[in-house]
This record gives sequence, structure tokens and C-alpha cells, in this order.
Amino acid sequence: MLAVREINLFYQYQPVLQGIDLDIPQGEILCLLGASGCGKTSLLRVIAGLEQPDAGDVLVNGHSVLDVPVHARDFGLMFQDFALFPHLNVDGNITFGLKMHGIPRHAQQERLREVLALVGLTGFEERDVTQLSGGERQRVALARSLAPSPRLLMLDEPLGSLDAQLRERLVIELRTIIKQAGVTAIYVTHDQREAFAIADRVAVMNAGRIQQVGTPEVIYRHPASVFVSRFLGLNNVLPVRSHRAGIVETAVGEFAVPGEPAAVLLHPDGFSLANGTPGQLAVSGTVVERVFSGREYQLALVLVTGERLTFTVSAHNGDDIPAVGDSLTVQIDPALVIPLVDM
Amino acid sequence: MDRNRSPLIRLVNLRYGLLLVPLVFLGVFFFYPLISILGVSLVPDGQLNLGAFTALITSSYYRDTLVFTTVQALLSTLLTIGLALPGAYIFVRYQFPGKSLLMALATLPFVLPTVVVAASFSALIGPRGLLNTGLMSLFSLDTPPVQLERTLAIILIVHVFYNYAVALRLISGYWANQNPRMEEAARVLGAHGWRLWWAIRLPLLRPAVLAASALVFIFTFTSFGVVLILGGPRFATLEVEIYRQATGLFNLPVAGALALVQIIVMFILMAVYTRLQKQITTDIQRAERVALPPRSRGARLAIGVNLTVMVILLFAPLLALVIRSFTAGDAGWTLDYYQQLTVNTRQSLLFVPPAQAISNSLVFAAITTLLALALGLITAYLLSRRNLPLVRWLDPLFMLPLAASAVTLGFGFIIALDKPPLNLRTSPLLIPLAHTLVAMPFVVRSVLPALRAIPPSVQEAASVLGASPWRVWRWIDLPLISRGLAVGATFAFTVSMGEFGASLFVARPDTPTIPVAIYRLLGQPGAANYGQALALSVILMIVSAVGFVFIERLRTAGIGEF
Repeated sequence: MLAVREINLFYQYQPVLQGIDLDIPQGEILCLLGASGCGKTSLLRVIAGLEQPDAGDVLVNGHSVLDVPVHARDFGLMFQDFALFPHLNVDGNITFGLKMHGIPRHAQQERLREVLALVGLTGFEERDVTQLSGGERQRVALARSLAPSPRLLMLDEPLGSLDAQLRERLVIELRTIIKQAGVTAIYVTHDQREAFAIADRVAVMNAGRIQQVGTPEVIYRHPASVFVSRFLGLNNVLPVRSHRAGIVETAVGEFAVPGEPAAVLLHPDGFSLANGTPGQLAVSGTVVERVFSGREYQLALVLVTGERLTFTVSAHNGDDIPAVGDSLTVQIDPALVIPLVDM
Repeated sequence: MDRNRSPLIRLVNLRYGLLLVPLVFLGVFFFYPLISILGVSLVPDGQLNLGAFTALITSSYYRDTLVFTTVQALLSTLLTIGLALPGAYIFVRYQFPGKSLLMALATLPFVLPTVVVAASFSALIGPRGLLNTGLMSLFSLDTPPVQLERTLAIILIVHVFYNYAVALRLISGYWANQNPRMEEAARVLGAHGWRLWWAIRLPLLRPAVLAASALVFIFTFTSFGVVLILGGPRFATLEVEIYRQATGLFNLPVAGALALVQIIVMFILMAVYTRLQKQITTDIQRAERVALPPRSRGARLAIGVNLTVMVILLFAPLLALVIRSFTAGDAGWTLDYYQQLTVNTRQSLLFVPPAQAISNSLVFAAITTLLALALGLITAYLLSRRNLPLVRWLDPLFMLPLAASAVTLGFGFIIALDKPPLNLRTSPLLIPLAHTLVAMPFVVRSVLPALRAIPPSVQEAASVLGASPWRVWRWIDLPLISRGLAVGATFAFTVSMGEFGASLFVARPDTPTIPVAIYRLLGQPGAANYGQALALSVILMIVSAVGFVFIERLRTAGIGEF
């Protein structure tokens, strides 16, 4: 549906976006995930037409929309602060886009009732937007961007200004509503949990570049770069000292991984306490941290070589959980030793 | 608990007299004259007589005056807002070289005394102005081709000149703080062109546009000097009519009745403005809007047109004033008019050389500054005690003199203070007293925020460290409010230097101030008088401009509640 080709954008000679390429099929929810300042909002604004890229193209169904002004692109954009019009009530806000598109009044009212029902605000037509709660304002903003049935819906940190509890509940609801509306969507967030919960695919961004695109599962299990790995909180990253014929050498030991990675990730899901086959993929060290979090323990191990590894152990292991100060040997699942490029 | 227990307040508590000084001052020099106006209009000869009011209603002349006052104020407001809106748009939207300097300079006209402005426009487009003399010599004409003096047009132009920056600042300030996402949201939803203006921009700017309109209407409704000097006998606002009835025709009851109408209208307008102003400060959704350099040719054109209008409207008259002050006669460039200021010619209507007016003004301004600082400081301390129940009422009370027009003040002064029990008719002090009434609110507004910003714990810490109440004031309060005091003092000084309406009433023939002298000189024939009027105006303009720059400098450091 949407294709972004080689987008470059500069702000006062500083590169903001560099060579962005994206393809989003019809009906997909793609999430742009990255820290603040990584360029994800700028990319959204370029796609919306609020910003002109310095190079590259934005295509909808194969046709460039760069020359189409903002108001004619038929996109929806939901802002982080919602940007509701304070001089209009809920009705006026939601039907604004319909009016601009010349939809007759009775059709506007029909659509208004439809989207209000979709976001669960039936009966709110005459409410003053300044009197609404944060969650209600968020729904009005969503309804407003959905009302003109946009070809593409973009959401810029739509839950950013809400508190954590509300956020967790709303993100699932948001996915349901977007999927019900059947609209192609781009969702921008800095929150990994939010991204995984809402997205069909996630694009991790850093410093104006897309680092990796994939389903949440792929991104989490197989981060491609040191940056993505650390961004997701997977910190058992060991620099590669040398490599030969599919074997890489690190401070901890040698691992069989393909290619010439800059580092390897010992995925925390790949650790086990079981003393199965002793041998090539076991590491030993001292437990320096033990944090109980209900279903599992998080352990931190400092190896004799000085490296620090963290991993989780199921709480079902009961009394066998080592204490701080214990020496421990753990086994590493070779399938969860992930090669990382240096980015 | 007494949280604002500042040492000065304790001192004041000891001596109630000190606390009462500003109140007594206000009572004697503001409310007493106002009541006297009421008296002179309602009970002119010792008994109730509504004749003056019936005259206002029955006479078509007075009705016309009221209608003209309103209509010219409405037209001025419409014109000003109509010009300031696109100006505000380019200021908010675009970054261009010299922008902040231009914004600061655009405010200059607002602080210029009315006589200076009137003289400037006279020097530009008056019969003796640069434009007319230029055209006359160019085409060998005998009469000035541009006949704008004594027309409604020139009154409106000058009113736009005066108020353009006020509207520009108010609207662009509000606009710049408005969330730019709202406009973007509207564009994404399909709004563009005039629909963007109509459906989003104008409705969102409504509070600021209304507040600016109210303010401009207030200023132009009470316009005095501009109409008196440039309008000629055909035009009279309420203010001008009060002046004419009181001093020309000695019809005190009618002048009183007109003043009363004026006061009532003003109080209503001020109440409306205060309402609108509150709305502005409350519903700002703080956001940063980044002005960008223009990209399209249309944008550059919009900037060009607006800047041209601004520069011509705002600076051409001032430039003309300076040029004509050196070239008023036909003899080319000369310093004569500045030198003549010290000479007392026999036919002079001033009785004293014009330079005397300069020293008069300086002395009056110095006294005003001292009085306004002393009274304003005490008032500010009084008002900084929010926990006093009376303060809520006192705060607007001390602002009232700003709502009363200068002419009303002056008129009240001459009818109230020229007979026992308080006969100040011959006292030159009348002028600084009247000026202090106008200047005091500025001092209060400059000092009060600084005073309120001092955390009581700071003063308490000083006390605990061994400072006596006096030393706490000297070493804690004073340094913290010094900028506010400096701003207030500068305001007081420049307000006094430029004040015209009240001074015209109370200045004695032999103690004119600079504005009064300019007014008298402008009314005289002859290049010498004209040139001296312009020379004095240039001097006054420089004084006002220096004061203004000083205030702007200090204010950018975040001082003052304006």
C-alpha cells in the first residue's frame, strides 16, 4: 500500500533521516520504535506531507504523493497531544474532516455515530472537549482521524501523555479498533512493550536510520545489531575478538555462529541451570544479584573474566535457585547465541 | 500564619499612617476629583439639576460627538486588527533577518507621547509636511496637494500607527504559544486555504483578537491629543469635547456630564478587557512554535508586503519628524530651531523660552518618579500580602487611575483642587501629582511580581542568620526587587515626560511641560514656531525611546506583569 524510498531529511544541515526504505502492505500495523530524537516522528511527518524530504519518495499504491499537499493526501494522523480543537465540541472535532471533504450533513452524522460507537463514546456528541478525561480525549482524537476513512492512519505516540496503567489497557483496545476499521497504520512509540503489543511488524530506528524490520517475535529473538539488542534490554553482548571458519572468539569463549559478526548476544532465554551435557557451551561465575519478580528470578553472573551476564530462571525451580555469592555454572543454548552487526 | 511577614510590613504595621498614605493619596487626588465631577454635573448651583444630562440627550451636537467617538474608535479598531493579523501571521510563521529588532522597534510608537506622534504626522503629511512641501516644489504648486489634515482619514491613520504594535504583540504572542499541531491536524483532515483561516486559525485566535480589539477600542475611544491637534475644529471625541466645554466655553456642568459618561463607558470597557485578558492567559496550551525561513515565493511576498506596510506606517512619520526639525523653513538644513529653543521671543505665547519647558518637564518627571516610587513601593508591599482580606479589593482599586482618562483626571483636578479646603490652583505641584496618579500603577505592576517571587524562607533565613528587619530589607528584598524598581522608575519618568491630557488642564501658563509647549507652538503660524515644535518633539521622542529601550532591556529578564 505504502512505500517509502530512500528518504533523506535535513534540519539545519543536520541529517534527521538517512536512506529510509519501508514497505507497508494493506491492513498492516507497522510500528516505528526508537528513542526520542531517532527520527521516527520526522518520518511520520514526511509521510503525512507536513515535512518535505530533501531526497527520496513516498508512494501510495505505486504513485508518488510528494506533490500532493497535506490536505489532499487522505491520510489520518493522531498527534501525541491529540491537538483537539478547543473551540469545537466532540461532534465538531470528529466531523471536521468530513466537512472538509464535502460530505453531506446527514452522512456526517451517520459516520459520527459509527466512529463514536467504534471508540466506545456513544452519546458524547455534544461534550466539550476540554472537559474530557485523558482517555476520552485520546478516543476522540482517534475517532477524528478515523472518521474520513483515511487510506493510512498514523499515530504519533498516541498513548504517550497517559499514565502507565491506562496505557496498558488502551494499547490492546487500540489494536482491536484499528483492526476492526481495517485501516493500514503506522504507529510511533518509544515503548517496546507497546510496540510488541500493537504491531504486526516493528521497525527499530536509531539516529535517522532503520536498524531492523520484522515481526515482534523476530526482533526479540533475533536482534540484528548491537543497538537493537541493547535497546530491547538484551545486554549479554560480547564483542568478537576474532573469527575463523564459522567460529568466533569472545572473552567468554568460542561460539559457532555464521558470518563475521561484530559481537554475539547470549540471549537471556537461552540459559539453563540443568547440568546436562557438560562441555562446549557452559560458562561459570559468581552470582552477584538475585531479583525475585513473581514468576521468575533474574540472576546476574560475573564471570572470572569480568563479564557480567544476566538471565532469568523460572521460579518453579524452587529451592535450587542459587544465592548471591554462590559459584554457578550455566549452560547456553547454541541456538540462542545471536550474531550481531555493529550498528 | 503570616507567610509574607516582610520587615517593611512589620514597620508598616507599627505605623498605620504609612500604610494609609497611598490610600489617602488615592482618595484625595483621584476619588475626590471624581466626586467633584459628579457634583459639578448633577448639582451645579447647590441643588440637583439634571439639565446638563438632558442636554446631552436632547442636543444632536452631543449625540453626534458620542456617535463620532464610537464610530472612529470602531473604524480604528477594525483597521488596526485588519493590518495586525497578517503581520502577526508572518511574525509567528516565519524567521527572517532583523525580526526581533523590528518587533522591538514596532512597539516604539506606542510609548511615544501623543503630541510627538501628532507632530510626526504633521511633519510627514501635514500642509507643512515633507510630502506636501516636496510635491509643491517638484510641481511648482501654490497649495499643498495632499489635504489630509483635519480629515477622519488622518485620525484613523494615526490611531493605526499607535495601536498596530499593541495588536501585533498581543495576537502574535498568543499565536506563538498556541499548539501548532492543531493547525497540522486540520490540514491532515483536509483543511487548506481560506477554510484553514476560517475554520481553525481565526476561531483559535478569537480570545486574542477580541482582547486586542477591546484594548485598541479603549485607547482610541479616549483619544485626545491626536484628535485635538490633527482633527481640527470639525472633529471632537468625548475627550476633546470635555476639554473644549471646560476650558473654552466654561460650561462645567456639560463637561462634567460628558466626563461622567466617559468614566462609565471606560469602566465597562475595562471590565470587558480584563475578562478577555484573563481568558487569554488561562487557555494557553503552552507549546513551542518554531518559526522557519520562508520557502515559497508566496511566503516571501507576504513577508515583503507586511514589512513594507510596517516600515512605512511606523517609521516614515518619525523619520519625517527628524528631517523637518532641521528643515522646517525654506533655508535647507539648519540647527536654528534647536538653538531658538532657548530664546524668549516677544510674540511667544509661552511666556517663557521653550527650553524652560524642558527643565520644567525634567523637574516634574523627577518629582513624579520619586512620588510614584515611594507610593508604589508601599502599595506593592501592601498588595503582596495576599492573606489580607482587603487585598483582593485593593488591587483593582489601585489600577483605577489607569481606567480614568487623562482629560478626566485633569478636569477633576481643576474643579476639585482650586478651592478650599484644598487650594492648589497656583501650585506647580499639581502636574507631578496628576502624573503620579497615572505612573503609580506602573510602579506597582513592576515591583509586585518581584516582591511576590521572594520566598518567605529567604527572608527568614536572613533573620535567623542575625539580620535585623531593616537589614533584611536592605540586603534581601531590595536587591531582589531592584530591577522591578528600575523598570517602575523608568515608566514613571517617561509617562510624566510625555503626559499631555491632564497637563494641558493643570499646567499654568508660565510652567508648560514639553508636550504642552509643543501643542501651543504647533497652533502658531510661522516656520520658527513650527520648527521649534518639531525640535522639541524630537527631543521628547529621544527621551521616550531611551526610556523604552531601557525598560525592554530589563523586561527581557522577565520583570513585570503586563
